[in-house]
Amino acid sequence: MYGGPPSYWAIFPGVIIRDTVTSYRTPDDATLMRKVAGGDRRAFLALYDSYAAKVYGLALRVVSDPMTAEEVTQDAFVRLWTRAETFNPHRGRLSSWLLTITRRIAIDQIRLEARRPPEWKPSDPAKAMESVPDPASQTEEARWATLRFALDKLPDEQRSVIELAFYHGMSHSQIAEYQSTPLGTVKTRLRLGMEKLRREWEQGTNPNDPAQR
Amino acid sequence: MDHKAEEQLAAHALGALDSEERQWVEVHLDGCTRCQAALASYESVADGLLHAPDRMPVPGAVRSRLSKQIGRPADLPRWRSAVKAVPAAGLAMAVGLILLLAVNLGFLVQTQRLLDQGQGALAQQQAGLTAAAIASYPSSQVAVIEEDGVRGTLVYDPSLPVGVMYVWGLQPPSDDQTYQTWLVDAEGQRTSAGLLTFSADPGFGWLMIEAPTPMGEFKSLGVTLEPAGGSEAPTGPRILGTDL
Repeated sequence: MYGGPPSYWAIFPGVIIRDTVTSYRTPDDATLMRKVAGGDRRAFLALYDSYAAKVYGLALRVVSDPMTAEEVTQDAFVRLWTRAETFNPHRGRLSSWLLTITRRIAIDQIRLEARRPPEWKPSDPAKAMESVPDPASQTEEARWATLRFALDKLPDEQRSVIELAFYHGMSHSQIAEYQSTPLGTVKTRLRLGMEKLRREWEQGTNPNDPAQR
Repeated sequence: MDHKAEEQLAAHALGALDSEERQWVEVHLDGCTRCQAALASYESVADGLLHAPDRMPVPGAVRSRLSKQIGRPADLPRWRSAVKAVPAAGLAMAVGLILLLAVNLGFLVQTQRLLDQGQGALAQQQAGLTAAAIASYPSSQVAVIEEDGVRGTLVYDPSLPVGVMYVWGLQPPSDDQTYQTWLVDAEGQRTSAGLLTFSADPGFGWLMIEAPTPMGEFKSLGVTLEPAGGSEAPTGPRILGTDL
């Protein structure tokens, strides 16, 4: 098994047979993807264990149906397996590559099923407060939680156009038609909402963190 | 800067521009470094939106299905593309190699058998060492398995996704069957923990469990009799089990 928290590997004594010891290192994503491109199933499952919850969370956000989200998750990881050699770590991190694939598959799925976007439900206030990060924290998870919170805080008319565009793959004109709103109004709402999100996002940027550049 | 283009950048980053608008903005972007920089900042927000949804627990069946799916030759296009890439001369060489391999088949089979035996012993030794390592942890636990004359133990630590199970007195399965172990979570979801391996000693089986999440997240473990190769979900009779 690859990856896992360091404490997990610390339990094993150094006398364990050599082939096991060599696999206890924690390879980075790029290394694992090279192994996956070479047909290494264990590397694939290690990546699955790292990213499946994230992929499924995004898929569920787009398709709003657990069964379909399972299918989307499975398709996304099959593509990771069959197209691993096309991943270039110099062009971005693996999670973004994989989640971009997931979003496309999920949006294709809702288009195929001509599914209407679900009613927006505001976050559970208690849960939302739990997810509000420590302001001093600049981890990526904290920044994503901040962005999620910032999106929830947007005025409904701005939040909804951003969600329809990004999580449901609708264009300006499709949103205007769906919401029976003038096209110009949709464009303005989207731009204003995105500008607010950009300000929130850039406030959390840590210039010393290479992953955020 | 062209303000009309600037106003479209956020929508471009979200993929919300209609086709004509997108082409127009992309032409503008080619010659405008300021808009390129502004677009990059919106794209980083879009990347954040990709990551923003909460992590959600994935049903264990997805991992099982994927594990099976990637094991099938049909899902290995890299092999297909490699074969297509072989030129005629290479193909002739490949045919020669195959013939050579055929001549040595008997020798290879014998070598493989010895290798299998060696690997089996090595894996069993590894399981023993792992069990000893887990047992040395203060929070480790041992679950006793006792059912219809079959005895066994499961050594695990609730905070770790590993465990080792030993059973004695279990009738080895027929060639077309296998014992498969399942971890059951609080919602009753079954996740395959692997197939029981039998040693040369009659009735002695063992399994090193590599669970998808820490063992403490499961409430029980069960063993069922399944077709050889295992099943995606339990289909056969329950043979053994223990609470975790």
